[in-house]
Amino acid sequence: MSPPARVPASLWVVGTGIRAVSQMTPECRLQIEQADRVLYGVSDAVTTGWLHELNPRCESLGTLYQAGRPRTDIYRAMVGRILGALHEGGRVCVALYGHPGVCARAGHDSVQQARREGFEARMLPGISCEDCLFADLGLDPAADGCQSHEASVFLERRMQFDPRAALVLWQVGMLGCHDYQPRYTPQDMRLLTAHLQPAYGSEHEALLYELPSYASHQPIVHRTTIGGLVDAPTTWATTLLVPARAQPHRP
Amino acid sequence: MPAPSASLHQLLRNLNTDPTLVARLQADPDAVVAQAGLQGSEADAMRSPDRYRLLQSLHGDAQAQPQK
Repeated sequence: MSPPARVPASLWVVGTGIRAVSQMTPECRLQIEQADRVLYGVSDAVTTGWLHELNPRCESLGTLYQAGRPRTDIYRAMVGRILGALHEGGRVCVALYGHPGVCARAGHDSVQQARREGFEARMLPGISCEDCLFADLGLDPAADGCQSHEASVFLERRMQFDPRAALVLWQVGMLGCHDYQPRYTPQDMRLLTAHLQPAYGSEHEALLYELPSYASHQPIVHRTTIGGLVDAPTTWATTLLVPARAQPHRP
Repeated sequence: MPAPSASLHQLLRNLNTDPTLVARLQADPDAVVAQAGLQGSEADAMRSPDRYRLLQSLHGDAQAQPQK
């Protein structure tokens, strides 16, 4: 009897969603179940347990995180670990929190590197915090438009924006923080306020949004103003929404 | 800190996939917590509206960021 045909090495990068278990798409789940090896980057305990149930050949990428280590360095190490697994052969699945290609450089970099090396590599979308924000805050990005930036990049590059459209700033609770920390305090909120104020004024509404991983707790929406952002509570998972400035009535 | 119990994991998983259970938890947290078999600090965390107590029970650090 001939040995079973060896599966060609391939890479699948999938998202687990924000809400544990319930937001994983069927196609992502299938890739996790069918993989010869799963590497994951999530820290929510319920998702972690579930991943190990779906596929016992699961390994955490969490060991690459050390307090004070630059996040760019961590992402490089993550890509190295993913490609290393791919070189060993078989079907490799990487499962990342939320959408695997949003605020997740390692997801894109590993797919690109794998393709450069001639491997089959694909990313499958997951539900991101912006998707949840649209649903929970009732924002249709197609209505007045929506600008979306990572908060630190937005501020460092002093990005131009149009206040007639909504503005979403990801990871505002990690503003100005480039190293991994188990918990963050935004460093440059005063600078961000100064960048936004000329366009909106200090009394314009600003919403800080977070979707907890567990349905036992409701989405968190802290309503403040541009001027009030400096004192607003944030965590690593907070996203800032600045609604569009009111438009003159169109007949 | 003791590891979170399998009962707590199962309850959170059930809550994320069963909106009627979420409604029951909001209406009568004691009944849902008792039925799930939670005790002590885990039961207190589930009853509390403060989500950080729950995260503390699960992760040790209530505000730890995901490793992505």
